[in-house]
Amino acid sequence: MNSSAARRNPLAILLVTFFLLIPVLLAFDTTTPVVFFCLGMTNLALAGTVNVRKYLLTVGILSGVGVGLFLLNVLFPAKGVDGFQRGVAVFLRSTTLVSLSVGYILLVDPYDLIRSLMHNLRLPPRIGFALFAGWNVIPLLKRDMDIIRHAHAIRSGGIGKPFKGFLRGAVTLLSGAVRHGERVSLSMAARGIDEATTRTFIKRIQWTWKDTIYCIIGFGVAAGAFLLLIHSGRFVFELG
Amino acid sequence: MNPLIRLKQVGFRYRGAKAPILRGVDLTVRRGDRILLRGRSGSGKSTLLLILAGLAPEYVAGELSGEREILYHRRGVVLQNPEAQVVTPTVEEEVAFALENQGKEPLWIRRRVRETLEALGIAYLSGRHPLSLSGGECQRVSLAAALAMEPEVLFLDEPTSYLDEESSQRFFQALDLLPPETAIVVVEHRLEAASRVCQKAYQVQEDGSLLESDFTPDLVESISFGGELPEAMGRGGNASILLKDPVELKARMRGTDLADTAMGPVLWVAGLSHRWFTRNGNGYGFERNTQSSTELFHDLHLTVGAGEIVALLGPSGAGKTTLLGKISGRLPVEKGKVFIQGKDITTLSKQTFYSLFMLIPQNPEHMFLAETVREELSVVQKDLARAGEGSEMRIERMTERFGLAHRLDAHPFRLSEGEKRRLNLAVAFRVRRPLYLLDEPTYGLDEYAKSLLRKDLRSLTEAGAGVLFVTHDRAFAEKTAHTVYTMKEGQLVREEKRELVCCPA
Repeated sequence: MNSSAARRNPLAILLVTFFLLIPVLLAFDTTTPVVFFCLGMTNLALAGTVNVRKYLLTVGILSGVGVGLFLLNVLFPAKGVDGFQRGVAVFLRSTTLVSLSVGYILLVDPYDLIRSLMHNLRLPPRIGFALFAGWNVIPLLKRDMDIIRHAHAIRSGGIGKPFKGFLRGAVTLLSGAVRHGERVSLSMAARGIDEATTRTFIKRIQWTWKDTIYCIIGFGVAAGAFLLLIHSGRFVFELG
Repeated sequence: MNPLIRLKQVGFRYRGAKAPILRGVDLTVRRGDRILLRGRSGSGKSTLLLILAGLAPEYVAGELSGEREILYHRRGVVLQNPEAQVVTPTVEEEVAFALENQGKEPLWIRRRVRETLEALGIAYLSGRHPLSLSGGECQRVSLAAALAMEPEVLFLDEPTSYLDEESSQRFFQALDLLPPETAIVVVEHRLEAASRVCQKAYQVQEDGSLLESDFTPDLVESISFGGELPEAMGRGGNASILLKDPVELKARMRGTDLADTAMGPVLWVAGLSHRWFTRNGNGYGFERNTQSSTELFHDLHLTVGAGEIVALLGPSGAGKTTLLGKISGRLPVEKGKVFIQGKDITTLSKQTFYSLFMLIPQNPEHMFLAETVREELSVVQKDLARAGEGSEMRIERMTERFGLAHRLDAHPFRLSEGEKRRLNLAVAFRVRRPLYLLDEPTYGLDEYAKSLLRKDLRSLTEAGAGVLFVTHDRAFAEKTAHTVYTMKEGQLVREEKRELVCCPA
């Protein structure tokens, strides 16, 4: 089982990650992303453990977007703007956003996040467990898509356009996924999900006082750093 | 004994269907009753089970007529497909799911779950993800989830159709754990297994009515086809020949296009091996991920001649589907060789390779690509016309031949399991290939549908094609195949050389 490596409530980590992302989203300078990248890495180390190899690989791949934006600004700078400076800022901003988001995704078990939504934010179990089932189906979809495309290719004798073949496969996969959803829904209904007025859970994701403290500190540090950057004149905000 | 369910003149019509699937059904289920519901694929027995379980029309779009009285409070339901019943990420939570819905105290639930898993001998699976289990294990988890509720009635809808013989025996043995007052209603094609549990049987008739029945299998061997053999399949062949030896058949087929190209065996697997890799580590933290490998099978040798049907048996996880994956190119051939019509498959272009065989996957839905049965057959017609192959048989005649004439405008996904399989075969018949590979072709089929499948496969071989199918169904394999192999501990054991008498035209 892919158990969670997070030490805090997934919603608390989400909240703190959000606090750290907001200033980066607004910044057009080079200092703010670097500061919040460092804070984000510290948060990641404190909130749990992440597979470094997987993390670097994912961030590395997704950073391609940042590199593209950098080149775009350097090669085609806007009038009156230092293209290199702007390119570096945009690269740092997008890479920091990617790094913090990927860190959160790899840190938190999606099942724990859904559990936390059900337990702490009153997400109806019907929806929560449907999300569980949806998450379960992702690896099955990949497996089924491989089988479907293979079966279709053999059926058509290896001829036909790849894109059309992909579309045909996708339609079959989608129809199968709908049927799968109907069956899972029937199975949940057979076990009384709709009659559950006072549902209990054997595995609970509690919101503890430690999560509250963690959120307060996270907010304090993020807000403090943001204010400091604004006061020092390092933070640059631009529209467009 | 107290009645738990009463049905009086009950009928059911699916939304959009012209005719009701069930009509005039009278049935009373009492405490302690053990009832088998039988009938042909698509006859409505699963629908009847859902009505009894209080799930149709509540969760199945359709219209219920007549009177239904449900007097039980706790039910357990196990459906056909183990994968489609999994909701939670651990076996423990899966078994606890219904009890949590009832609002039971978590500590009590944990104790109850542990007891149930121990009683079924699967306590060691408690922390695993249900989807990481084998089909047999996964279905026993579904049974555990149903038993944990201490149901008054247990509903089982073909619970062993995805399981091998051993797993299905273990599944039915597990029902011995139930107290005698628990009623069981089961839909099952494996009559021998069901008769171990049930005292009464009811047959859903073709007109949708219900009749008390016994446990004797259908007289299926005398069934004859309504239509003729497709022209292309019958070309040069003679449906009434006695198929004693594939070599003899090949000699008789000489002069036909399929036989002429078959200089050696249609399929020759030489020294094929397969290893699978598992990643160690939980994927988190700073530990290094490492891989370890296990040999699934080693140095396999297998031949399928023109006009020969070969069956491959073996328990779940033995590597049967993997072997098909390697032959059909879905998995790479790392060690050993695979030849189709004397050609090494690793040297062929994709187009040449795929034109040499036809694969019918385990899940019949995976082959579908259109909105209706008619379109399904038209699509293949267009593809084949472009490739200059395929039979010229009209769609109407084809569907009549495969008993699908009345479902021409139905969505392929809405067909019964048996009908889906027959549509797969209709498509397969339209594309003439020297080799046919079938993965678990009898899943979800009743004895009648199996007998039709048997005849279809024989028709293919009469035209000179070779057939290799993997199955858990020993009885079907023995009745259908010339050669039966069993896959055990990574090796193929040839069981016997059979002489089959081909079905009369």
